[in-house]
Amino acid sequence: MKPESPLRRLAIAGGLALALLVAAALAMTVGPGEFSLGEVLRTLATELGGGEVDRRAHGILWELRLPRVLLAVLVGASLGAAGAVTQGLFRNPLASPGVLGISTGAAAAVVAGFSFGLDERALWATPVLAALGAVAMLGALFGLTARRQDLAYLLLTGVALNALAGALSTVLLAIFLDRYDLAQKAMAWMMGSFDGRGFRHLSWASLPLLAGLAGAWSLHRPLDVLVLGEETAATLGVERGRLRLGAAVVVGLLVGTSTAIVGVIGFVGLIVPHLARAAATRAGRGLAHARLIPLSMVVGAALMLAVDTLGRAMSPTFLAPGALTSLLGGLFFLWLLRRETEVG
Amino acid sequence: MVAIGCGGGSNSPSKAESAGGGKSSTTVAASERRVASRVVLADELLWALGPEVHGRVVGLSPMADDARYSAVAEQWPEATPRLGRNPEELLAIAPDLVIVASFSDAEYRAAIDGKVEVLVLDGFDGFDDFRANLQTIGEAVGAVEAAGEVREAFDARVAKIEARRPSLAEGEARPTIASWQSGYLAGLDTTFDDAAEAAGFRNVATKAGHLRVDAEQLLSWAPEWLVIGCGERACDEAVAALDEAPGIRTLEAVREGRVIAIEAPYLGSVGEGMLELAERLQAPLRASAQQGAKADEASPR
Repeated sequence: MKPESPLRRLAIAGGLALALLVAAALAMTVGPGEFSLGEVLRTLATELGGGEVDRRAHGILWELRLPRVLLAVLVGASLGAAGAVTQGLFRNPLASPGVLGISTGAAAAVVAGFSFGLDERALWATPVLAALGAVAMLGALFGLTARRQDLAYLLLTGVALNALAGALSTVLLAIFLDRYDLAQKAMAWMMGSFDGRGFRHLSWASLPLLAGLAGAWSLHRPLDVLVLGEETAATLGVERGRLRLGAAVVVGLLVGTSTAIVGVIGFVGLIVPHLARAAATRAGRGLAHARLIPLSMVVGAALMLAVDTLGRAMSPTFLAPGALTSLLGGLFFLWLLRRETEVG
Repeated sequence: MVAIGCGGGSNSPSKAESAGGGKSSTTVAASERRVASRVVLADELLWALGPEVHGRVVGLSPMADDARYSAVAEQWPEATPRLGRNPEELLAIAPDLVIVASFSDAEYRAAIDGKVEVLVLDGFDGFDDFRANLQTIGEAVGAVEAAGEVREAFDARVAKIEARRPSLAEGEARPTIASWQSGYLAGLDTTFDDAAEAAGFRNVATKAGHLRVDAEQLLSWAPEWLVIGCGERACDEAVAALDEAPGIRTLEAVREGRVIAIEAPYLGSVGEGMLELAERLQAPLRASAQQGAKADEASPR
């Protein structure tokens, strides 16, 4: 394969960075209040300079929209990176973080919290419950797969735990089916939303997500070697158990924290690595993880911003980001399956 | 709109008309019917119709005793069965009439269709719907007089609330209000809209129904008063939590203490609880108006 020229790499990186910037600028101007880009920039500059701005602009642009945009970037990047790591770990382009059951575990804990009114105790209650659910799921995954090192077993255990956590949510919802407010809250949360998230949510999410993103990038070498097969990777010094543990912790951090903060946003981890490969290579294949992972972060961030902005532009029709990504992801999955079958 | 039906067919407009006229195809006289309820509003209205009707109620909705939704929680005798989602429970008690809502499960309704006479209530959007539902149930259970008394009391209470609205100066608009919780706003043609109107407010919403509205939109409307549900918390905790809510805490209503926290079940009530809601909305408005008037008097001219 002919190596790519540095110029082309630079053009790709620049193009993606530009796309992200445009998406961010659009996201800041779309929504109630009809703020122009100039007003947005002036408000942000004044806020950053410690000056006083109109209370309405402060509330909408500074307290809500800016953290929302930043959170969308961070969550999109995280889910994209988690997807790249998961596909690399399982050496399967159809794998996604969802197969490990982490977001489903988080959802089950949150639905339990809704059922018992815990979400109303404090703003942090739902994110903490979701994080606990994600950690519990990760713990169960490790506990159940500790004796067997192979990836197929990890995958199947994840699928089983995913189903179990999903069933737990369903049972809880069935028990409290008559409480329409609970059903409404649970449904809204399970479709994901950036509504009402502020700097506090951003600050809670930043550290674990940034740590997860750094962790994801650090796995690029062993993931590249793993492409050659588990046995070969082992002979080249990749410790399967360590890689598996590291990848699961990274995916757990990225997906668990994202889910804890904004709810369940599915299929991003599946779509994004493919979009990143397609953007960077003509064949859409053969991209080293050292490039695939950061590219997935950028593409994920841009996709999430675009989805959230589109949803807000369609207001008052409520289009939850998770619902939209699932719709896109489902179609993409079918297309991918068909393509893989043809290639195979 | 109300529909009533018995037999194999579904509820049709003609049957709805027959219900409106207080007639039905059943051989049991309306005043002797054994009645079951599958909707909280019917639990409340059957209770309001008095002891004679109470004795003929053989089943209640599953939420009859849930104080978050029912204004008659724990008032009905324990011996009266609370009917779950299994239609067999209803068929086992063999009532002459069952009252359901248009939003009740289609499967449930299909399962009992033709086996028991069904009264379908369809309209839960404010005072007029309450009056219509009251009249319909009164006719269906042969308690027209009692229903008339309940309605008179209801109308008198509405009139009393409306008479207590703070007076407005010429050209002065009513203060704006928004009821917002879990990302949903109570729009026009809702129970909240009627209660707010009776209390002396103007709903900020411009569209009908319950609308998904995010925090940014609410901030752009900047209602002068904000109404929230207390949920599972104490109301003062619910109000205090707004100080932590990004963006929302910057609303003038929140900063200046013009937040009205309403306990369940009044915010969601489609029965007489709507008037309790109106009174709870009006109390702080009147207090604020009186305070304003005192301040005006005290200020130098």
